[in-house]
Amino acid sequence: MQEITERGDYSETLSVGDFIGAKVITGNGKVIGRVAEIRWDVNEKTIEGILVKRGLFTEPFYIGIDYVKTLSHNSFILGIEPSVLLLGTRVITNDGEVVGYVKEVVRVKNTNNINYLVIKQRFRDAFSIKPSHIAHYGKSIMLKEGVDVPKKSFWKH
Amino acid sequence: MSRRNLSGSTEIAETITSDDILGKQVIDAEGEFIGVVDIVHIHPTDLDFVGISIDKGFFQKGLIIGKNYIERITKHALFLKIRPIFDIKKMSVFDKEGVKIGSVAEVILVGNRNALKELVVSTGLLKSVTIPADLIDFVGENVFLKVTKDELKSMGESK
Repeated sequence: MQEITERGDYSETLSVGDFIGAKVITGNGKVIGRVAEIRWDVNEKTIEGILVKRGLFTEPFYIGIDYVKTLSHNSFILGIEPSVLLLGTRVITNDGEVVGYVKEVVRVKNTNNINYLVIKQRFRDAFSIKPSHIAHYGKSIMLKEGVDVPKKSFWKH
Repeated sequence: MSRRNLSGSTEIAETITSDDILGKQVIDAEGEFIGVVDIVHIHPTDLDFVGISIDKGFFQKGLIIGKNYIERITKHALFLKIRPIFDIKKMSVFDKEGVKIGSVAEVILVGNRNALKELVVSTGLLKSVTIPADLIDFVGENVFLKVTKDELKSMGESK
């Protein structure tokens, strides 16, 4: 836009500075932190992404602007559930047996797409599952029927 | 222990018993472990299985779930078809722009069904607003409305 005015109508724009401190909310409504930085692409002259501050003892993480669905001064609402938040999620079989917790999320490059998850539980060997093994993501990750998991063994550990 | 069979049916071998249900973990439709089965309800004249009571732990109110809301019973758990709507109590409520309005103080249902009629949202000390279910956009980790905070105010819902 080619415009130079002393007093313009700015109602359709937002000041970048006001975004700092805005809440970052996932597509499912979970508040995951606040905007610490707005990252600007100096070549394209567009917002490239945001750095999300999650608390004193948690590493901030960067989210590309393509994953942001809506934004206002108060919040950035994402169109996704960041897969890194699956860390620590309980994993259950199709019949409800708890078989471990997510210890590592291995993604496809830096996208939100999961390559595989590493699952660990005491007395059970660590194992990995691919997204095609998963029936449902929610408060727990439920595996599809027939997915093999290592048996618990007390003597090996 | 071996038992003589006077059930009058060959199907008895395919049934499960109250022992198979009592103490079993209950998992809702979102994969949340919400408690354990502590009572099995049976109708006194129809003799039908009617539902279960769930013990949610110390200091938590129990929950009665009708059999229509039960999806299946497996070796390890009892799965529900639903996410009990009471779970939204204490969730934060945001307007459509992500502005926090308050937190859910009370959940009012349509009868005894798992259907929301309205929410009483605490907006501050001794202040609350009643929000009808049709203003709710979605319920996930928190509750999101279809309207802004200002639009809600102008609807005169404040008490």
